[in-house]
Amino acid sequence: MPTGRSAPIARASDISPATESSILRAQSFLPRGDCSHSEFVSVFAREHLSKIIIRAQDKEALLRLGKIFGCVLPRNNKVVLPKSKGYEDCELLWLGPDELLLRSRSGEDSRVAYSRVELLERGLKGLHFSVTNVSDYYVVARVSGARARVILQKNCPLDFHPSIFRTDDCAQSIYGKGSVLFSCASADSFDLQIRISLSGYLWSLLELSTRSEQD
Amino acid sequence: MTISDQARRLEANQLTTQARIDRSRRLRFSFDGRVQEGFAGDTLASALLANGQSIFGRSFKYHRARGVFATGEEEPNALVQLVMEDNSLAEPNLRATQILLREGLRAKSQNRFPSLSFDLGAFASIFSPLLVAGFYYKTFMFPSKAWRFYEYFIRRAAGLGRAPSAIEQSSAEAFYEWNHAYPDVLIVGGGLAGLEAAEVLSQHPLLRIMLVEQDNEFGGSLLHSDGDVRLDGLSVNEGLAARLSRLRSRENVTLLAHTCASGYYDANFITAFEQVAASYENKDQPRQRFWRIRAGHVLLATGASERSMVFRNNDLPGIMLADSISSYIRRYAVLPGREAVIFTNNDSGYRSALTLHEAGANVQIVDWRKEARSELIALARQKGIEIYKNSAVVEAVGSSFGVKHLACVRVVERLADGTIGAPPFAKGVRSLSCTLLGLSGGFVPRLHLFSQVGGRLRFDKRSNCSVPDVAPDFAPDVVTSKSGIERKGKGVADYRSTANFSCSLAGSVMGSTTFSDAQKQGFDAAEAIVQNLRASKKLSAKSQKSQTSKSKSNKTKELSPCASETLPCSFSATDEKTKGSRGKFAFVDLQNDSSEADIRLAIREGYRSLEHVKRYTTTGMATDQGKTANANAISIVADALETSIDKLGTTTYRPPYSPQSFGAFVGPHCGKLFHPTRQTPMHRAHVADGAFFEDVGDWKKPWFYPQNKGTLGNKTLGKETLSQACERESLAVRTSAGLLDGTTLGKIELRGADTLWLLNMLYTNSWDNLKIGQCRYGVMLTEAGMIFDDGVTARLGKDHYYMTTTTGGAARVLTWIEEWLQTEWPNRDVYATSVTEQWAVCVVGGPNARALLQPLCDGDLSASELKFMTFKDMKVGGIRARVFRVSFSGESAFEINVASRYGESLWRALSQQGVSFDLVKYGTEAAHLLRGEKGFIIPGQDTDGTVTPYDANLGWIVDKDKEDFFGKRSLACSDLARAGRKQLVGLLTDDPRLTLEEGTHLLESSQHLRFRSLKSRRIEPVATIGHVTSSYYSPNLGKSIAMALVSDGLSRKGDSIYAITDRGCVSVRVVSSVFFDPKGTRMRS
Repeated sequence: MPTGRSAPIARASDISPATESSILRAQSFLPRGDCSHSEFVSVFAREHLSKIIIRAQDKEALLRLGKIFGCVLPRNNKVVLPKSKGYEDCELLWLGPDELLLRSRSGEDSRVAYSRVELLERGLKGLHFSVTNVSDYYVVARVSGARARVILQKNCPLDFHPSIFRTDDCAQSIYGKGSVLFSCASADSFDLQIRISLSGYLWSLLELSTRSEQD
Repeated sequence: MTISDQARRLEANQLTTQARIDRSRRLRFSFDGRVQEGFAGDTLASALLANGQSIFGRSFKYHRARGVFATGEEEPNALVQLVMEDNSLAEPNLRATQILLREGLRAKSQNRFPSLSFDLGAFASIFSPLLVAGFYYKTFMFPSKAWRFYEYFIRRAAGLGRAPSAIEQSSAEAFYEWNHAYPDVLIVGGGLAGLEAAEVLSQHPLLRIMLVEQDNEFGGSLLHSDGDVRLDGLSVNEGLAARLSRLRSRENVTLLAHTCASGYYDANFITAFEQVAASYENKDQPRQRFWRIRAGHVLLATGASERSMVFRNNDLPGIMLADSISSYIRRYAVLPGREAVIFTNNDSGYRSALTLHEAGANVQIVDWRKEARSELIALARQKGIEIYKNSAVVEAVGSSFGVKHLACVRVVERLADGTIGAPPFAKGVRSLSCTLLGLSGGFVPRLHLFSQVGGRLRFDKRSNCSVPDVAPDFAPDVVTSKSGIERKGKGVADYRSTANFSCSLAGSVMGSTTFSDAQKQGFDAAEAIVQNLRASKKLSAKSQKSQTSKSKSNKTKELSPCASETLPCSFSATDEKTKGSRGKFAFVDLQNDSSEADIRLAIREGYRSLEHVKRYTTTGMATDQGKTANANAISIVADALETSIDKLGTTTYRPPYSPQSFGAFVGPHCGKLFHPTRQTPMHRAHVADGAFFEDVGDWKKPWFYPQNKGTLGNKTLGKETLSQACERESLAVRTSAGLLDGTTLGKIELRGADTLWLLNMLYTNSWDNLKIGQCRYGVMLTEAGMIFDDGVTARLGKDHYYMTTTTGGAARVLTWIEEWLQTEWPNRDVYATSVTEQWAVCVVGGPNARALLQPLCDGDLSASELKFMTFKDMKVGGIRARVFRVSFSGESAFEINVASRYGESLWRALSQQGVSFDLVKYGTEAAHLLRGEKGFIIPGQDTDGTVTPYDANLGWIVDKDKEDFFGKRSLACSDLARAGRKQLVGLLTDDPRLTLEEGTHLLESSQHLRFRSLKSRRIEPVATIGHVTSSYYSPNLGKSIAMALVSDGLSRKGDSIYAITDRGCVSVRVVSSVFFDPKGTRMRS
């Protein structure tokens, strides 16, 4: 029971999602909001992207998914853009033979991902599948500019040559010592998706790696 | 030295001829505290030479004065230490010949006290008879106890530079980078052969070409070539500039100068170190960049090093390699000496002599060869240079006063049998006075990289050195010969062993001695690579035909050389004083002060293998790895053993080719980036609360939250200690409420029709009757029946479960599930997805937890609505949450899961809400104490991979009636059911304040062991019957408690056993491991 002290007791309505803390800022992932380093490279966080991991491998389930998204599902380290209504602002990334990531391309309210999960569950009902909301599991940093590939190449053993890592390619590897999902948004801009708990590490490493690319 | 003195020397050594230094840019630097000037393009060595510095260092053993010996990475003598502006240390043991001069550079000499010119250590040479080969090992033996006495002096006397301390490094804000590259062709060596190959290959735009050169400039020996050498019809400087700008303009070319390819490993993996920062004061550039290069093909155009010669006092300052003299004159406009002698066995020495002559020096040549005729020799004669043919330098003599410097050389003529005989020499000795002696013993190919990767070497009698073992004939269609060798054109070898690497060689590493030859080899090598790529369809057949870059018009005017003649292993004579030990002070390895006499002594002492001789005498060791020593050392060993060199082989070439900074290997992974640390979404709040953190896996978890202890009068009492904080925190949870960050628990979502089946396999208990909305605790076993993880799993939907694991076990459990699903049960309908970091978890526990929490929730938290081991989705503080009624503390507790982005908001809201309930934040230490009171196990702490559920007193959780689960069969093994197994029990000490150390061994009786008698009596070994796994002082119980694995522990409850403590052997009582609320009424309430 409450002890004698009188302190205001918050009610359910006092804290609303509108006052939610941005975890990215809490993590010092992004010390001063957008962080444009120079004309050669800029690094900024793409906050609150919805992310849903879809697991399926049966033919029927894959067919159904194709219909739901209105596109051919991505294969082998590719990213495709769904065309169906409700998914226009999303991208589908290939993570493995039975694993896809549906990710929004701009920040969204946390409720959107839940409703997408429900929609997908309904669409795949009766089949062998799994749909899991991981929106808050990962954060995404956008590295762009003429030196973007140089910066990624420093701490990742993947080959980032433009002829090898092309637009709409994605791959999972490491940056420094953190596991990262890389995807190439355009010739000189990349998204790095990393566990939220490692965002501070990734940010510090990116800061160091861009230090020598300012001119 | 006075200023006028300095000016005089400056005048004496500096030339005004054309060179590659930029005289318009003067740079000030300091050496041993003396400020001097050089020019842009100078190295530290060339600038010091220009300023009249002749002594660069003191030798390793005898502290003999040493001058600069070479121009590049092979330099054995001129090792210096760089220092920062504030005189703190930077890098040690750098070769002055490789340090590019920059404004404000600070360097100091090493291994001398108090100064270079007056070194007390030089008295070591008095003891030189004692400092023979293997003296270091001998000090261990004679007498064996004296080593401790010797050690102090030996460690002080011998040595190189000093490594900077961690503080010095971090205050310098130095940083190092890594980089990765995947060229189709990597060319190592930017001399003419490498440049030509790059030129040809880069014409194919689809090929990615990388060219690395360890020098700070491309060009190799072109950089100090004769004035009449032309490149592409232009002067060398113009030709080089044109070629480089053409290469730089091509997008498919990466040019890296000042980059040393140091290691060549399997599958064409090459490591290289790039010097980046122009100055240490530049904080925006890394000092170095460590490249990991995976190349399609490697072209080694690594060149050759000039070979030294062995004779008495061949280490005096003023003696250097002949080609290096040309380099100092032509590249840096420094004349290392006005009175010069060149001792040679080949025509390259004549080039150096002519260069010296042109620079205004008086030159004489001592030529080993009996018969030698060439245009070069004729030219030397024509210029009036005195040539002593058929002769050898047998001794160098130092100046009589002050620090020794070369003053003259003694020359004898060869006898009719080709030898020089023994002293007194039959034909008499001629003294030639000189201040500079150039040695040219031929050229040794730089085969380090080739040999590292497995390329085979062969001793070539004609050139008297090891060469690549490649087939002698041109055989264009041979793919792989028996020895794995393929020849693709004259002078170009394509070497493939079992497809593990693909490399070819070109240039002077293959023995070319002229520029036109090197250029042709570079071209041919590139052509062969292109043809191979076409054949393997990696390059379109239509791609354009290679063009040699204007090489048709590239007739360099070169004088064809005459063949060299093999030298004897040394020109030393038997020293009468040392009775038969030949080669005293005839140095083979200048850096290690090992002489011919040392090697001969090692052979006399019975060493036969080259590798053993190397280590015993230290020849070819240390930072230069004997680049100027090895060829001569091998010859001397062969001579002493009276065998041929090809039977001896070589010592093993190992990476790195030349020494590299540890900083570069480490790259960015130091300081706060040493290892990634995982932080929960509430981390910032914990920091604000002054939490101490504990490392749990990669996670930083709050350990305890020390508070100020208040004041006593005017005195502040400071912060709580760990035990004080833990006591306060744990008491609060039992009496009111506590708040814990539980985010780090592993979380896995399991979905699919077979999930229930999988859970029944993973856990020992039955999951059949778990309803939606319920949770259950489970223990996972390995196939061997041993506990490896535990946790609570909740049923979210029909085929939808939410599993939690231990913090450290999260990855292991997911891998375990995936492995079984992928390898054994691919047709089972289950998917496992990690959701660990999707959820931030705040745990509120304690008698007041419900009252505190209820106002924030839109769901009913009452014990009847939200029963123990169930969960409900509701809003907490307006945030969508899932609230679990589970308890690790033994109190009525609520685990609130919210999406990570709300974690900190929720934490702060709960903290604020808790003020009126005396809510206390507690860390892992208090959490562990609370669970210890309840006897809940922590896998990995109370179990160690040998503990079954029965051993852990968890027999109740094993459902033997289940069809199967992991470990079921093993649990039936006789060994797991035998008597005497260690079982988990509680322990209480007789003295309630005495807390046992975790890990304490437990004994059956105390009579065998009395610590008082340690010194007087021998103690017999005593069998241990177990050990303490967890131990705490429990403030709630007012006594210390412990959990322990004790042999047959469960049947010994009530017994007294003994524990070893720092108070001696104490009696402890075996009790149940549940110390608090054994019926669990509190957590269910």
